[in-house]
Amino acid sequence: MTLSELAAGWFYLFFSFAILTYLWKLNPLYRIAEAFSVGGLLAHSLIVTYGATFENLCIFPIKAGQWQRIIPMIFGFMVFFRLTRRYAWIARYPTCILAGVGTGVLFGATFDAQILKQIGMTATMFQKIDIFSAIITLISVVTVLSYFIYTHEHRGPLGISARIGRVIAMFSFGMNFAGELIWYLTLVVGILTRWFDNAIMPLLGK
Amino acid sequence: MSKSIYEKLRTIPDGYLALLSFLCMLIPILHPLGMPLTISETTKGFYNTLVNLPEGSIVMVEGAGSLSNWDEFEASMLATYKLLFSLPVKILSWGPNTDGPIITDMLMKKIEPEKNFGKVYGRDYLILGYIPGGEMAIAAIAADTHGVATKDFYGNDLSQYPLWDECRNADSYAIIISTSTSCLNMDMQVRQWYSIHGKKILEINMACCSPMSVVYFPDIMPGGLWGAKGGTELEVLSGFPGPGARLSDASNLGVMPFLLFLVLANIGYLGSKYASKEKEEIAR
Amino acid sequence: MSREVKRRIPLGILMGITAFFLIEYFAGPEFTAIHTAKTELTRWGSIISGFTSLFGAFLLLRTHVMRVARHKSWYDTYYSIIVLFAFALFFYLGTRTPERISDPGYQYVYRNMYRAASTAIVSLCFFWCIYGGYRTFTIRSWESAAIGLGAVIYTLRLLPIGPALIPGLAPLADWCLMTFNKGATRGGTIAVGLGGLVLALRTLIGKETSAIEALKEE
Repeated sequence: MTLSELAAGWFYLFFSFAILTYLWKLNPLYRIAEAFSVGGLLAHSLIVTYGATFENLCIFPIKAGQWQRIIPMIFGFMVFFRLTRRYAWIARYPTCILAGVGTGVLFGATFDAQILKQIGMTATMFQKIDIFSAIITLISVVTVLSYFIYTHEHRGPLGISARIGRVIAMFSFGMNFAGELIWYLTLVVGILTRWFDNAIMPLLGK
Repeated sequence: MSKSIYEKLRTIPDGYLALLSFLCMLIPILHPLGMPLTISETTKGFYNTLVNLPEGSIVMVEGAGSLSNWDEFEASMLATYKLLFSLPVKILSWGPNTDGPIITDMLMKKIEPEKNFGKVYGRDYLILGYIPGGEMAIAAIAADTHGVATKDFYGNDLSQYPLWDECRNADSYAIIISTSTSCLNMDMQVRQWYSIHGKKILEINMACCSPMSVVYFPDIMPGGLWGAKGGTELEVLSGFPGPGARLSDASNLGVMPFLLFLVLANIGYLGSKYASKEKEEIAR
Repeated sequence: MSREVKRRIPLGILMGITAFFLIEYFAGPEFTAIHTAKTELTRWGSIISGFTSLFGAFLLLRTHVMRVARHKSWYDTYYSIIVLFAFALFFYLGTRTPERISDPGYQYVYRNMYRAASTAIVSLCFFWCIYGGYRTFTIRSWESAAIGLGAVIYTLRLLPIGPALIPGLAPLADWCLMTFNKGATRGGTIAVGLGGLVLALRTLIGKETSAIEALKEE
């Protein structure tokens, strides 16, 4: 292992240990590491976004003859008017274009993907899986949907259905929680593994 | 007033839980357990979809991994790229976030496709840079891929590469592999790729996103890899060993203190509940 | 400046673009001009989104520079000095060569310093999760029992040790994932889709003015 690789291992150990000291309490070491990562992320975002947006999507196409790219570039610069109080309203134009495009790309597709397709897949599953599982799934869909009905009081049959839906939704949230737990656990284990492999074991000569 | 044993079981200080968790994580790191793995249907679907692609197909890889969550993604992405390079398919990779291209570049330096698989950059695979916009970027790429990039990640003009000529719009791609750190990613991908262009999507995501993504399995999403476990399963299926096996093995004991404390908390709760009921009956 | 220029025209642009995209979605393939215009507008959205990210990064940088310049308290100032130092270091390494972020020096600091800190920040959530789970997952009610049960079953499934110690756990957990969880998530997805449609309709008819209201007028 070279000196550079060993130093890398110890840099890694220092910064990750500094952050993990937060488990004890908020302290200056944690604040230093956190501030360092904020600064690094800031620079990274600026460099990458500048290259991707300004150069790749605007300057290079304009140089290649696509003059229409000047218009969104001007709108992009208009966002910076938010810094002034008097002319902040100018930033509404690019914001509204962005909101309009963002809403537009998902408008039609939402109805198809998130509503029609979901209902269709619920109906066709009776042909694909065993009847018991299909019925359980159908009951789960209907009861969870009934829980989201806010225009009618949850009483009587709707109340029972909403209660069942809530319990089933909680079971699903528990499974999401489990996934999150394993995700974070993997990160902690990854950190500890790197401490041993790249910092501690090389010093012990292993 | 002193606490009863049941109340003490419910209020154990957090520090003990954290310390026990750390100790349990260290054991398999220092002494691997070597537990066998059960491969899930979603990983089998992921693998089978890729190996059954026709020769010459172009696979679009949306590399939105995050370096902060690298341990979750490393095994999956390494195994996926190795599998893709071993197949007679081509790859177009781009980054929906700022970390994506840097991760893809790291992977290429690790895998060395030219040396290990005989692939040629520009003919068999291409790496575009970061394209901003999220769902708008996906919509733009699906409609007209050439309109969103002129240079690749390394700053070279794309028009010199033969693969770039073949990547025109959604019809050019056989399948989409979407890597993401968002649990709402599949909704977005289905809206832009499947609803409009009929393209199926394979997902690589974090472990917490599998419950939300399986909604689309198997009709729209033939398979998916979630977390280090998914990557480990693909390593086993594809025969390309990687970091996933060690990471999955090392994660085995870390959750055990939490499960133990959960049992203690429930014993404490039930104990206090029945103890207070007895007190009420005695008082009557 | 008149109310039209400051509010009504931006709102009209918002409504117009939304309506145009809806028309494009239903337009047949023979309407090539509409589809081409939609593709161009989507690229515009991508470009403006990139500039917005640039603006956000610039704003954060400006905030820290102002904190150092004003020097109200050492507690805030030393934190901002470190942010600016790290920014300068990464920016220098990331722009000194044409390779930019592929530069080996940049990759060295990015992977061994930034990644270490950011991974650790995210990994802290493991401890918050287990602290919270210990307090919450008791058999107090059907709901808390359900969330606890789902968490335990799927946690053990995701680790190799679970199916190894408990035979039948893997098929049970996979079955729960594909029935109860799939049903619940499907119900939630439909509900969210309906909510998204309502939001899009409000934007189309000009009722959704959050994009305008976010910026206060003088």
